[in-house]
Amino acid sequence: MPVVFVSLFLLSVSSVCAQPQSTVKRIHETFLDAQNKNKYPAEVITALSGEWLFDDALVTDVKSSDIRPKAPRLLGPRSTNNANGFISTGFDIKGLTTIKVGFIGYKDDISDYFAVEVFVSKDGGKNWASLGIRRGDPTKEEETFAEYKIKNKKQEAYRVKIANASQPKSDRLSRINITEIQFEYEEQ
Amino acid sequence: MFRKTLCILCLVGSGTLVFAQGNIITETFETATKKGRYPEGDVTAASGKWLFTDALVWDKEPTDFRPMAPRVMSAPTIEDEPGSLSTQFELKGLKSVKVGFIGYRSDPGYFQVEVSVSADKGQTWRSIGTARGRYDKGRETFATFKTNAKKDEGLMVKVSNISAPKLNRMNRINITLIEMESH
Repeated sequence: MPVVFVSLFLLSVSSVCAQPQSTVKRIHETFLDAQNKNKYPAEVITALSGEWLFDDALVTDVKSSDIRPKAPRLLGPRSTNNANGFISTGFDIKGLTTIKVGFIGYKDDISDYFAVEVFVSKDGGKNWASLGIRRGDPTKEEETFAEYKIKNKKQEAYRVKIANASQPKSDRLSRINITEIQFEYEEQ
Repeated sequence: MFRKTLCILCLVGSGTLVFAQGNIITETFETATKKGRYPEGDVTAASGKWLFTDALVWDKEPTDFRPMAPRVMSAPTIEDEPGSLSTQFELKGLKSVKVGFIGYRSDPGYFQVEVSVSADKGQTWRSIGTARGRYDKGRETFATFKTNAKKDEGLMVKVSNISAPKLNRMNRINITLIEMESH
């Protein structure tokens, strides 16, 4: 009987030891070193982290009311869930566990609320699942950091889309600036 | 009457003296030795010797917040070391560190500092916090960080520029004040 216990114990120890160690890594994107895109219509740009699709979004170092040069500016929705400006990765992130987005309302725009919505896709951008909407500071004084966690035990690869979910307006001038994006992923 | 006034003056005077000895070291680098280039080097300031890594302190650059406000480079990418200032002396019973800073006039931001402490003479560092500065560079940001150190522990202090990484490292900050309070 004790032999059975000992062998069971050894089995469980060996199975714990056999678990591969994973390390947490981080992708940090500010778009400071990205190429310029001075107009809103959809286009792919290259940033340090890889290629990004900017749709109804731009990134420029031309003097403007952006919170800082090269902070992506996303148009607001025309009506609820209609034509929200967004940016999305052109690459998959294997083992993605955390998405953190810094954002702030665009200085020139007045809106009842400013918000982001983050989506992920497991099929290269064909289908997107929302991780939720986070509201920001309506006074545009403080930037807001929206954090999303994903349970990703199988270390699947995800694409990420960050959309402007601010108050819908016919002229879409409830724009936001993205100040910073961080992805955390686990690598074995 | 005269004696009374004298006594009061003496009391105020001794009170001021006690207050001044209240274990706060205030460093502004206004009387420090000049260092006109970024690569690592020593600076001697009123508080003691500091190591400037990718940082300078100069009195004749109009785009600095003020003359002799240390200017510290940011890291090129998140994997690289940012510019920093660190004490080459230890502070016993260090309770808190207050840092004043502001984004360098011509750089885009964001701007952010991190304060770390070392109990092993700079071999390893423990972060005690970060603070983000103003995007508009209109005025300084002041942030205070607690060390949670033991009373008899000797600590070195490091202030790093962890602003948004930029390949040319031009997300610089000016440090305007470092205040170190001990038990």
